[in-house]
Amino acid sequence: MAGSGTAHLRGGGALTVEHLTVEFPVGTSGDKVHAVSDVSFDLMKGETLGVVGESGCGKSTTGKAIMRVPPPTSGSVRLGAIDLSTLGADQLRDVRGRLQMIFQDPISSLNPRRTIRDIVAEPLTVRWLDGFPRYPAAQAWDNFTPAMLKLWKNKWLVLLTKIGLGVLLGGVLLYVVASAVGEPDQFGRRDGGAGADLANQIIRGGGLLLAPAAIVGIIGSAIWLLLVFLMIPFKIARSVLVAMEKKEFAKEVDEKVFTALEEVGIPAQVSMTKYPHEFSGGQAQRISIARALVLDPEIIICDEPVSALDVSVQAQVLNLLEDLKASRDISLIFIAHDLAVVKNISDRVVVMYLGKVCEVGQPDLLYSKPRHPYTRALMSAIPVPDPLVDPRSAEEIDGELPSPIHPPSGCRFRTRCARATEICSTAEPEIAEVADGQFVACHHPLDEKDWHLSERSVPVTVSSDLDGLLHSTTPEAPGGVK
Amino acid sequence: MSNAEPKGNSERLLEVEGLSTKFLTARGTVTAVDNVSFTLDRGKTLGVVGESGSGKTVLSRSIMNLLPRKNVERTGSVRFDGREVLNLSDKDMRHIWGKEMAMVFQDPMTSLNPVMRIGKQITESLRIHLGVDKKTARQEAIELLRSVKIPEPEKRVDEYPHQLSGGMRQRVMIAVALACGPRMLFADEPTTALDVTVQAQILNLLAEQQRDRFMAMVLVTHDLGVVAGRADEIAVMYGGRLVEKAPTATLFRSMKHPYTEALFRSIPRIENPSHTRLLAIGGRPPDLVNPPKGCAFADRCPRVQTMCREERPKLVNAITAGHSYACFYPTGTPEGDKALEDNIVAGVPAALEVQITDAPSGI
Repeated sequence: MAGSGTAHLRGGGALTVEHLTVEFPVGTSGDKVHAVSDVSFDLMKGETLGVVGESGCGKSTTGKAIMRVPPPTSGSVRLGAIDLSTLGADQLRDVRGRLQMIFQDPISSLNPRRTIRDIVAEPLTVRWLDGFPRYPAAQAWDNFTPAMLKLWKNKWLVLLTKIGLGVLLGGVLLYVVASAVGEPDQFGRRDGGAGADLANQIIRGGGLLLAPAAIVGIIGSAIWLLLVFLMIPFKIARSVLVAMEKKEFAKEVDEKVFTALEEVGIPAQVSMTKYPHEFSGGQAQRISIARALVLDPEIIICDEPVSALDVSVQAQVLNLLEDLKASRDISLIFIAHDLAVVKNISDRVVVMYLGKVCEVGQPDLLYSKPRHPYTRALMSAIPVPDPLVDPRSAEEIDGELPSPIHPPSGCRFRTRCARATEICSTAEPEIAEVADGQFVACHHPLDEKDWHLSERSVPVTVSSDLDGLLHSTTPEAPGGVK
Repeated sequence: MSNAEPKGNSERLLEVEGLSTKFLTARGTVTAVDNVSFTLDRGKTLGVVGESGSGKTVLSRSIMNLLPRKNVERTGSVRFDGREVLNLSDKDMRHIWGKEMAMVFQDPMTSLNPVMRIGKQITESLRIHLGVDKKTARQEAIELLRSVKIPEPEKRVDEYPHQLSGGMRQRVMIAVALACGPRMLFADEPTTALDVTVQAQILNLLAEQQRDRFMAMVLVTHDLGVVAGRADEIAVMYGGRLVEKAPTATLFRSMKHPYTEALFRSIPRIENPSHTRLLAIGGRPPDLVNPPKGCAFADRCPRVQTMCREERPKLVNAITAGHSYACFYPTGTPEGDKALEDNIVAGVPAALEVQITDAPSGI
């Protein structure tokens, strides 16, 4: 329950999360919601890591913090060797192609006003805009354009041009004015008298100063004009190239979207132009999965992907995820509140409670030999499709989740734990290995004599009997033969 | 509270016979409930199981007469405590709603009034039906909150729904439904929006209240696991029709309808090793505007034969008492198994899916 520590990290994972903490401020009171507190885990390549716990245990916040939406308060998330917290927005967007997410509510996570093709193509479009344009010619020009623009907008050049042109204009004006006043001499030239003399002197005296200024002004404005005229053909040529590229890209995207949709079992030919409301929940979830797949991610974070679905559709989506994992060699982080679902799909399970890790281990081990009282309680809450199991015999966790604003001291589960003692309120349990590959953060972990409960759901003889009857080809089902 | 003693003479509380509900829409007539019959005794629980769109919610609303008056056509008969209630007006139904029949809805977030204190929402029906004065009603509300295990009911009674968690809100919904001591409770997916741990709490609470008050209950759900240990009888619905009905133990012991079996096998079971392949039911439920001529499940069925597409199977009785099913090639019979084998050979996708799932399973 509520434990810290990193004993369960294996090192060299595809994704390593260490000391992840997410806190949200509460109004202006200075209080904080401790959504996730010092959580660590790692995900190996090709593995499915299940994260399980009640609502409010921080499992979804953990998933989102890995994606940095929003970034965690502290702690590190490493994708291979890259520490995501050191990346800027652009680099992060690059990395997110390797790290995708599927959300709980399939219908509301698809934009109702866009077609399926556009929805699934969106990640590709974003990626394309990042590396845009891809034609070398257009690229070269695009590199050149900013340099030109920079020169065009260079404040010294602008200033010099302005000064030069100003001086030039001023000089000419002064000369014209000066030569217009006074009496004309025999050649018809006017002598402006004292004023004109002064102007002549200024112009001649300042000539040394004015000539360079005038030259700079002329050169500056020439460059300016040249740039303006150059930009026009550049612009035109570029838009032609871009149009060509867009066409090619659209074709490429169509192909990718088509493949992705077919891969998740959506008939692409007829679905591309449809809108999300035309699909059922299970199909919409498949479309979400296609959207996550289209960038060829290494890791997909599935945030309660089946909680909103019927059991029969849930089975479809779970089978699909298993198939994809096998065919594409992706790693999954599978977040859910239903232990049976998590157990079915995971290679390793992390049990969370109120922002802390309780137990980590192989699913089969965790279920047959739970060490944490909370794991066992979660397990006993699963409805068993067997009328011979009395659901009321199950251990029920009493009460509600404590407030994450003021979490209990020591072990956070102690307020609802039957085994809590003095030490649980004073010291926080550290995660420790209790069996091979099984880690628990508890002062009083369960042992052999407590495991009878897991047998509750396995009335061995009856269950296998029932199974035998269901699958058997013999017609000996008691009672029911017509 | 007040109805601990069964009223009336007969054991039978609810009799539904040939109930059909049709919605007249722009696209055509949607037959959401198609010729459904069942009976429910006092204090018993009927589990109604089916996927989204199978008509289970419309069924419970049809019985309670909660559907709009316009463009809805209901035929058949619903007798509650010996009295025909199908064609009662809203005015007459008002004496039955809350007092005789009550409903707990799926989504506790949207079914409570967000701008009304929960105490008032609970006492509303008490004041109207039982004519209780304000003070007593408040006391009653506190008692009800206590009975649904809400801590500090004196404080909670003056709070608004947004101050409560999802599980707490569902408890309040139950308190509202129980306020006038109904004899019949419809629980329409009461736990689908909740976590497993809270689900267990709420289902236990419902069972406890049902026992204490001797209520009959219709528990509507898509999860066979939810009703397994809690219902006396289970009715499986598909495409608006009842496809199988049996006492719970019998149903689980010898499922007959391939749809029931598929529903059962799509549940991930905790005792199975991880990565056990689940049986997914491919495809979608049928379009209820143009329902298929034959069996509604035919397109998704691993045992489908030509006959299934041409003729609609009727509910027939199995040997065991109370067990009936609507299938030509039921599970666990020679003809059913032969149909499955034929389909595997013929490469029917649904049958292949069963074969794949069968292979690694078998605990």
